[in-house]
Amino acid sequence: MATREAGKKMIMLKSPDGMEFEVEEAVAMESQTIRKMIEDDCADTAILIPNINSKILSRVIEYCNKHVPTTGATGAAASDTVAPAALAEDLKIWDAEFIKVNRATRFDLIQAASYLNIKGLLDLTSQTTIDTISDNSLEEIRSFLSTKNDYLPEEEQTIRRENQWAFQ
Amino acid sequence: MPASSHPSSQASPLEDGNLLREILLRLPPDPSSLPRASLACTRWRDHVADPGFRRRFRLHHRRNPPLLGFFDGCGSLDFLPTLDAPDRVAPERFSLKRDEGDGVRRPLGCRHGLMLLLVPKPLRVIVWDPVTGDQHRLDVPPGLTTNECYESVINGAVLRAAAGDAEHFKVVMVAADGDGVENRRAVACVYSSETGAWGGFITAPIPYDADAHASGLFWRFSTSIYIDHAVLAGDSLYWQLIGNFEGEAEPVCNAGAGAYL
Repeated sequence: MATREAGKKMIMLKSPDGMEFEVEEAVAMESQTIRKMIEDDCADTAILIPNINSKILSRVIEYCNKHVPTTGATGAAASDTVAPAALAEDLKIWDAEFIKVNRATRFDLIQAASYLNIKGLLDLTSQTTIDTISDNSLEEIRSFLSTKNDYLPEEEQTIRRENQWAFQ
Repeated sequence: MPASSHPSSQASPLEDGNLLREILLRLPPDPSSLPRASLACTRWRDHVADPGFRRRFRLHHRRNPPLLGFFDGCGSLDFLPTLDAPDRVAPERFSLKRDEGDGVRRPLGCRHGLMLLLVPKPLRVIVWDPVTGDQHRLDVPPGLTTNECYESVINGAVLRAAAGDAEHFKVVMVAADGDGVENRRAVACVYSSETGAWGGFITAPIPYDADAHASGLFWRFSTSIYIDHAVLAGDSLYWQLIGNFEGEAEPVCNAGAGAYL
């Protein structure tokens, strides 16, 4: 496996559209799926990430780069001078900017986060999705889902009646 | 392996059951959230009605649950909702059915979705789950009430055995007894719903403070456990003492192990 800088193990991630990304192993291991491959010694010189195109994969790597815990030689300086609360606040602001993407990209990121098993990214993308719809009316949610109301009128009435308090 | 092993850029995650559940888990924990979401379409209804989903939903939000309201601890035990419609829980939804034989019910506190009440004759505690309406009545072990230790100086607490364990609970009862004013000890015992039995008594001496006894307001009284509700901090339960004692004000009971420190 290639190494860059002192003590930093590098790993190659390949997207199905042929792009290659060289990332620090610690960054790649933000993904539990990749971590398991590395720990089980299934990772060769490069890991092919199926079905995640280079555009989305580069965004995922960007996320992992930002969220990898700052330990070791380079991280020590940062964590010595910046309080954990300030770091968390900085990450929150960064996340809010990161997730300002169109719906299709966000959906791709959800799928990538789920496949690669990156809990923080799955939290961020899923929470953003639910936040955009949970304040909406039922009709708006249905239109967002591009789904038809498949309830029979009497079924819908029963649910409304049984949970009347929730629809006040 | 993660939820979806074959991601495809074509399909929306809302079409994928596993991903849809991940998204629905993040619905706000307000009471109206799931009933409203279930009306979107029958697929959503099926997801949110699933007991496994409900369990994960509770776990996901366990650190920031909404405050639904209060129980009036001064007698009536009426529920006083704090949220506005549509999340307002009607007081009658959380009403404890009165059993004529109970007498005066004294609430010993609420924790992890359960309420613990002490009833005097016979001396029992009721563990009540307001959401499901389940009630468990447990006789207080007689050993706790010997040596002049009567109902009004007994205290207790209820807690869930483990995070996300909606099935089992523990009850910890505590009292102080002893021989006269100077020789006091704290006594506790722990009930586990998993075994359905009370454990043995755990005791700890309460150091006597002669100076406080001479000058204090409570010189007449033996040190006892105060009626205030317990505080759970980490794995330990704390009660307040009242009387002539030396040292820290709280006896500590480790709720996880049931050890008295």
